[in-house]
Amino acid sequence: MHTSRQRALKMSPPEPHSSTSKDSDLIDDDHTMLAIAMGDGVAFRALFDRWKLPLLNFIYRSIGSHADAEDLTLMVFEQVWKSAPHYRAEGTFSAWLFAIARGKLKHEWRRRQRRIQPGTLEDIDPADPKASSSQAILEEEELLLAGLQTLPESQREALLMSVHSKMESREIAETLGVSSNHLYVLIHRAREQLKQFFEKHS
Amino acid sequence: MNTPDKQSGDDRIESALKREITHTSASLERRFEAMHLRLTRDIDGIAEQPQPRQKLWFLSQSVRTWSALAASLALVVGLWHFNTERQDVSPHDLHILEGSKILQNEDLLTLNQSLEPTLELFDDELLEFLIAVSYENIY
Repeated sequence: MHTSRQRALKMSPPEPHSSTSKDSDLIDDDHTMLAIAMGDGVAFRALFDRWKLPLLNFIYRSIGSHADAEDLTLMVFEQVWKSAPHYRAEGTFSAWLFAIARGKLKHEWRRRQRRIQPGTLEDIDPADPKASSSQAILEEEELLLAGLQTLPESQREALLMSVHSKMESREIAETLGVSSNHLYVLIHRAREQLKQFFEKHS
Repeated sequence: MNTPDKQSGDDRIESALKREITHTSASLERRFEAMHLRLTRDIDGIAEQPQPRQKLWFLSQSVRTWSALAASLALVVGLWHFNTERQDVSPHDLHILEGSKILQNEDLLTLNQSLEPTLELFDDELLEFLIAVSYENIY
C-alpha cells in the first residue's frame, strides 16, 4: 500500500537545476539571511523552499536513509535560524549552508553506526512518466547508495557536493579545505571507483 | 579517447547521480511548519489546538527528532508513577511505552501508521498530562 509520504518521494531522471541566474540567487540568499536575522519567519520559509531539495538530496545520498535525511535537513534549517544573527556574507551562502550540513552529518556518523537503507520500490511513483522503468531505477539507486558507502569520506563529500550543492568548484574546494586541483582528483577518483563498483555488481 | 564501454559507464554514473528526490514528503513539510512556529516563538499554536490528541500530534510534529519525543514519552512513564504514587504498571503505562518503542524505531513510515492508533488508546486526562510533561521536557 502506498502512503502519501511514499507517493511524495519521487526520484527523477537527470534534470538541469533552475535557470535562475546564480548571481541573483546569491543576492537573494544574503538578503533573505538578513531578514531571518531580524526574525522574519516568511523569509525563513522562503529559504527552506529554495534549499530543501539540494540539502535533502545531499544528505540522503550521504547516509542512505530518507527518515534520517529529513531529520538532519530540519536540524540544518534550525541551525540556520539560530545562526542567522551571526551570518556574514563573506563567502557564498551555499558554502556556509553546506558547511552546516557537513557538521551535522559528521555528528550523525559519530552517533550512529553506518547503515544503508536503500529506497524501496514505493519510493518511486510508477505513474511518473519520467520513470520509464521503476524497477531498473530502484536497482540503480540501491547500487548507487551502496557504492557511495564504499567511498572514502573525502571522495564522497566532494562528489555529492559537486552534484547537489549548486556551488562552483572553487567554493566546494574552499568548503572542504582542499585545493581546486585536489578537489578534481577526489571527484575523479570517486567516479572511477563508483564505475568499477557498478561494473562489479551489475 | 574514450571507448564506448567507458563512455557508457560514465553516462550510467552521471545518470544515477543526477536522479534526485524531486519532492519533499508531507511529513517534512509538516515538521518544518511546526519547527517554524516554535522558532518564531509562536508556540502558542500548541495550546490553541482544541483537543488533547491534536495537541499531542502537533507537539510530536514540532520536536527536533523522533528520538527526542521517544525519550520524552519514556520519561512520562516515570513521572506518571511519581505523581500518582502508583507501584503497579497500568495499561496507560504500557500504551506510553508502546508509543515510545514505536518512536525509537525511527522509521517514519512505521511511525505514521502506528502512532495514531496508539494515541487512540489514551484518555483525555492522560493525554493532557503527557502533553504537559513532554512540552516541559522538549522546550
